Amino acid sequence: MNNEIDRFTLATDAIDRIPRLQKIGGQAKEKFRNKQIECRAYAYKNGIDMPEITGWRWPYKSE
Amino acid sequence: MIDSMFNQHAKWLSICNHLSWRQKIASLNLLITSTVWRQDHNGFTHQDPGFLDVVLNKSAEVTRIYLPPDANCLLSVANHCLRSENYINVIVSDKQLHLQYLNMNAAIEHCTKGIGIWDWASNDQGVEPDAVMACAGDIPTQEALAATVLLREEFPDIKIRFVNVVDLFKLQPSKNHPHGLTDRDFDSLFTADKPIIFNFHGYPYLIHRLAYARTNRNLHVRGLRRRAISTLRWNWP
Repeated sequence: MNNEIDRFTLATDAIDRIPRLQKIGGQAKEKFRNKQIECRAYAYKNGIDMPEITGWRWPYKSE
Repeated sequence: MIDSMFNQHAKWLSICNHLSWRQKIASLNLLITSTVWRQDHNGFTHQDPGFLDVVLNKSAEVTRIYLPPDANCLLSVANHCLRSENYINVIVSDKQLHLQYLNMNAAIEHCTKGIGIWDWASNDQGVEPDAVMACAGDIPTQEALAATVLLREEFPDIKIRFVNVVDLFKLQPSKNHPHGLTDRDFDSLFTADKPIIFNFHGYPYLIHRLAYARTNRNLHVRGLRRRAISTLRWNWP
């Protein structure tokens, strides 16, 4: 997150740049910002990243 | 020191290419495994991915840069590089465990192309995408995939195309580098005007430098921006 190549920053970038999401993406941006704060707080407290980050997997089945 | 040794070798190779009586020699293969994105243990000593910028300055006929996104792609890239002659191949691959995205056949296909749409990670089949999520490098690829999932979960009707780059010089126009994509091929991958979110292993301006002459001016690159001391693994990206 220090260099802003994390998933939440990228998703926020997309909202800022996709014209129709610029109008409706406010809630999602807020949610992503909150997740960043939560992830950082967890990492500082526990010395390790959140399980949802370290254990992340692509969730969709390929056809 | 590495920079100047690399420079000198690149110059020799470049000149020798034009001398018919010079025997071909094995390529110089540089495997970069202590990447800047591992701040939990690489710390302050590894905080400069700028070697790639130096490589970019040298003659296009002898330089190659590869950023395999997973282990199978690394195998495929290494297989190609170790057999090659008269090049300087730079391979960037973190030495820590990573997710595996492609099976061996898919990895060979992807690395042979050097750049491509990951169909399984895209949902714009048959329609114009709202945006193109692009990436180069193992950790940037994982974050780009995760961002794609976040967007699809928040906005179920959004169409995102996912493009992964292994061979960095594909981004450059074909007239500037033998590996470069033609403008037509570049436009069919990245579209002429949709926003491109590009997540990169190194300094962002390197991507802008490679792709500045392309049709699509809607390119937004994320990459290394700051310096810091050792920190937590995920805190750093």
